[in-house]
Amino acid sequence: MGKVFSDKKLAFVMILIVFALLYASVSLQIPTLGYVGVIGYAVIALLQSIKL
Amino acid sequence: MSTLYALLPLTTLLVCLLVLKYPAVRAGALSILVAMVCAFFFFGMDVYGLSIAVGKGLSLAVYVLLIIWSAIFLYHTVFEFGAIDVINKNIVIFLKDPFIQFLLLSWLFASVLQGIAGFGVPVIIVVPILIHLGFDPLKSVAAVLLGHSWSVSFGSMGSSFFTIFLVTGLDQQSIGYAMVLFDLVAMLATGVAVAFLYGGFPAVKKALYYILPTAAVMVAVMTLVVYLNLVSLVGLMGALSGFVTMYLLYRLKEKPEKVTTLYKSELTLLDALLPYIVIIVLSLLFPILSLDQYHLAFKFPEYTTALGYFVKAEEAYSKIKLFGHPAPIILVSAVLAMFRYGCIGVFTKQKLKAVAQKTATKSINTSITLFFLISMALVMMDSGMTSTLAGSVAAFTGNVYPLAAPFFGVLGSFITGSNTNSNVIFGKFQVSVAESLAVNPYIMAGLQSIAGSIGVALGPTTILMAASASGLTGKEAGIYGKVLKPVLLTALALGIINFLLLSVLKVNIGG
Repeated sequence: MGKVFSDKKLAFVMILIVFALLYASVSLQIPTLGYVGVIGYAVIALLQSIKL
Repeated sequence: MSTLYALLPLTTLLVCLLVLKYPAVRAGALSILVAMVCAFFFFGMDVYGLSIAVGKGLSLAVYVLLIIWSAIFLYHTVFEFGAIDVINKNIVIFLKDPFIQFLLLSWLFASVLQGIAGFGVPVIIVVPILIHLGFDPLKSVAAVLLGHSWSVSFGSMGSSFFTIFLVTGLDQQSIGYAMVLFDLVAMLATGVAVAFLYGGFPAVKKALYYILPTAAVMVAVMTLVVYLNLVSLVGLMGALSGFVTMYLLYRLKEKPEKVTTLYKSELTLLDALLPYIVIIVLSLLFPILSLDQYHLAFKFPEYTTALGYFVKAEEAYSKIKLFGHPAPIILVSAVLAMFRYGCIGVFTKQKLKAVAQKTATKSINTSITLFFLISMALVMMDSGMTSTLAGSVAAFTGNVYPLAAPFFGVLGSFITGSNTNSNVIFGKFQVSVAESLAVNPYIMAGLQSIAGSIGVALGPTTILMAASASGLTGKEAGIYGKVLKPVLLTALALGIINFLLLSVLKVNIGG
């Protein structure tokens, strides 16, 4: 499980998805997407910051 | 108290990299987390504000990553098809002395490339060449990072130079003269730093024969180009004149045998240099053709934090020009090189597959780190942390501020990895402080730009590019260990000169 979370390719793809969510949120004015994006980004950073 | 909170993300980054020796990806992840928490709880930035700031950060990271991915692709292309071997063997034919190879390539050749392309391209091109010539990877990375840093501000066809003029609203030529003056200090300091990296004080002594006259010629040429108002060419012409001067000095002193035969394998030197020639030609050609309408850009709304810090809307943020961004130029050069190698018969599908695989493997870690670091910079800027930090230091230092001023330029580049962004963040601020102290704003603006220029050697993006180009990914702490001291010493030297000019001699230029 730990390996999945620290997987760099997965993290890279997840960040791109977060980017799409955040950009959709600010350009289409859908705040919920912004919440999901920001929380998602914080979770990715958290998983990358702890040694799994 | 808010100053302490504003310092937290940067302190986290520095402690993780320099004290705990964490890999950059882990340090970056922790720093963005700290920045988001500080912005949310102490700077009144809600989730909407964080969406905009992180979104901007990620869009800027995409801009930089396109350069890194394409440059790493080009590097593996020239490596797999044997071009780099041909280039290296010919460098050895022309420059027999390893010390001259080290100094000329990292201090001047990288600066010539910076004059044309910039955006980390010199680091990705020159570091592998030095390593293949047999120099220690860590020393090679540090030498190129430091060696070309003097040329960043006038480089990239003048993009940082344009920025300092735009954000301050001062006369561009007058800022240019002040920048050339401070650049002399930066040239000398970075040349000496490269020589010291090579062989300590004996190497510095030997290097002075080359560094002093070369710097004098470069400053004269750059002053002339500023006088002629050829803004985009100041860096390129300065570095080119320096390159030619140092090579002539080498021939004068060492009197090497005349080169009669060049080394070639299946590829000639011209074939090997083809991608780099294409990069130079396209970099010069595209600005003339004015094809700026073909671009991709992001739009972000304005935002005000709960504490009243206003961030203006962006209509075309992180503009990626199809005919101007380095990535398409580099990719076209790589494709043309492969086409040529195909004509010669050295191209195989297996080699192309190896190039693609190596590029992906090398780039992935760097990409994640960049996402974290650039979004941290944007969260800090848009929440008002950066301006809080700057205001506190200015208030604390008072009349001795000119001494501390270069450290802001360095800080801006350290946070964002870009001289242009450093000028955006601190350019107007430095000029405002100069005006409030009743000292010359042109000198302060020039100092900001050159301090930002040398600070690029500490920029996380540049360091990551250098690490991935040299196989030192994960060992970024070691690179910081080599470049931090020389950059800080150069900033101190710039500060002393600035203090003397502004507070002691009360020099006035421009206006």
